[in-house]
Amino acid sequence: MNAILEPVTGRYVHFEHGGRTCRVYFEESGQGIPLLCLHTAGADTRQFRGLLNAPVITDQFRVIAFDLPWHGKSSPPAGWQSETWRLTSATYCELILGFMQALELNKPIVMGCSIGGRVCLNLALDYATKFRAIIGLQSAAGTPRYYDPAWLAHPEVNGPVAGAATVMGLMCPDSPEADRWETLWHYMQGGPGVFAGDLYFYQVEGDLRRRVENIDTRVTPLYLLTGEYDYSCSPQDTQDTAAQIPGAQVRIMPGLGHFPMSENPQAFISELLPVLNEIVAAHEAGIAG
Amino acid sequence: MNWDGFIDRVNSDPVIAQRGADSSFRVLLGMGERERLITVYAGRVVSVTDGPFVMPQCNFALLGSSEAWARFCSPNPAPGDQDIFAYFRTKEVLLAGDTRKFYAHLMYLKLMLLHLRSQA
Repeated sequence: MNAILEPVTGRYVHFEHGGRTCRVYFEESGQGIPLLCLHTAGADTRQFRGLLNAPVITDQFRVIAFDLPWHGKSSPPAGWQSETWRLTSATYCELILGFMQALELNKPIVMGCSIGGRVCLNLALDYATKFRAIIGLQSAAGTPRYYDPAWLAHPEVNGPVAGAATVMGLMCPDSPEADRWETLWHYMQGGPGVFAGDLYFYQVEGDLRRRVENIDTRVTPLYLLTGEYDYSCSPQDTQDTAAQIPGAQVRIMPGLGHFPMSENPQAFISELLPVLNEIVAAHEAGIAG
Repeated sequence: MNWDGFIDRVNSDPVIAQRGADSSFRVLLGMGERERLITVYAGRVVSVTDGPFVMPQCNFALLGSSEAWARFCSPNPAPGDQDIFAYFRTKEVLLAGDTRKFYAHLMYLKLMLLHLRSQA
């Protein structure tokens, strides 16, 4: 038998949030500078499988990704049956910082995609000193509402399948078929109402268009990487955001869409590596200086 | 826009057979002045009827310009032309009718529309 054992390990960590204990699942691989990865709305840590298994990344970085509560293997806290998941900026930041504290992560690079890319802007605004660098994927301060995610929680709609159908066109048509369909599988496994609850943050509550001009990239470098096929957070959306933030660095990724790390991991890693190398070089120059 | 053999292509698509099984709906495609009524029953396209129509019976309609649909149907659509939701954002295609039915059969609908593209 030709078995392959991946270097990725998965564990659970318990920490307090909102007066309750969260049991949060996370995966990690590699060693070196912590690279904390944040998944998209309605999805989970599996989106970062390519990164977690890429020696070119894990030789230098400790890649860590966690499932938000209500997502993936992080079950909702007790009592969820009488609640509705609704992500807000404050909750999102508290959960990220709580996870970092629980794992004693010291100045990681944080990299989030979509809702994770948006919250990266919150982190750059309010918690910049806690991070070595911030990388927003498919990140913009705000995007217009062009569909109503409430339908994804309608009792006569198969929400997870409709959610997958909603996002399937956000990927580059030329991304590898197996990777595109695995990305959709993650959406098909989402909990009821969770994708819609995440989009409350993305579409309604978490609009930062009036605040991002206050981000100071001299405190922590900010990189914004956006796939050209994304029409939810389009390249123009990212460029408009960056235009408000002196020092923000933009990289438009050809041949990629809204889920760069999972729809085409190899192409994404090629785009990410120069950014990571630049962060490391700047850090080492800072130490030497 | 590749209507030749459209029904056979959709009905022989193994992905649609599995992921769109049991879908039943009727959609009106408005492509500029041209209209097409597609009827899907139990996971198979049973008819495509050319318009114009007077008050057609359908569950929902997708209404856009012929130019937008031509770009969508390119074998290699440019960024922003690869999905009807991109056109919802730009308002180049409008959804009308029963939104619940639209969402209930969205997976089938999107997979079916891909067969309007010419082969690269």
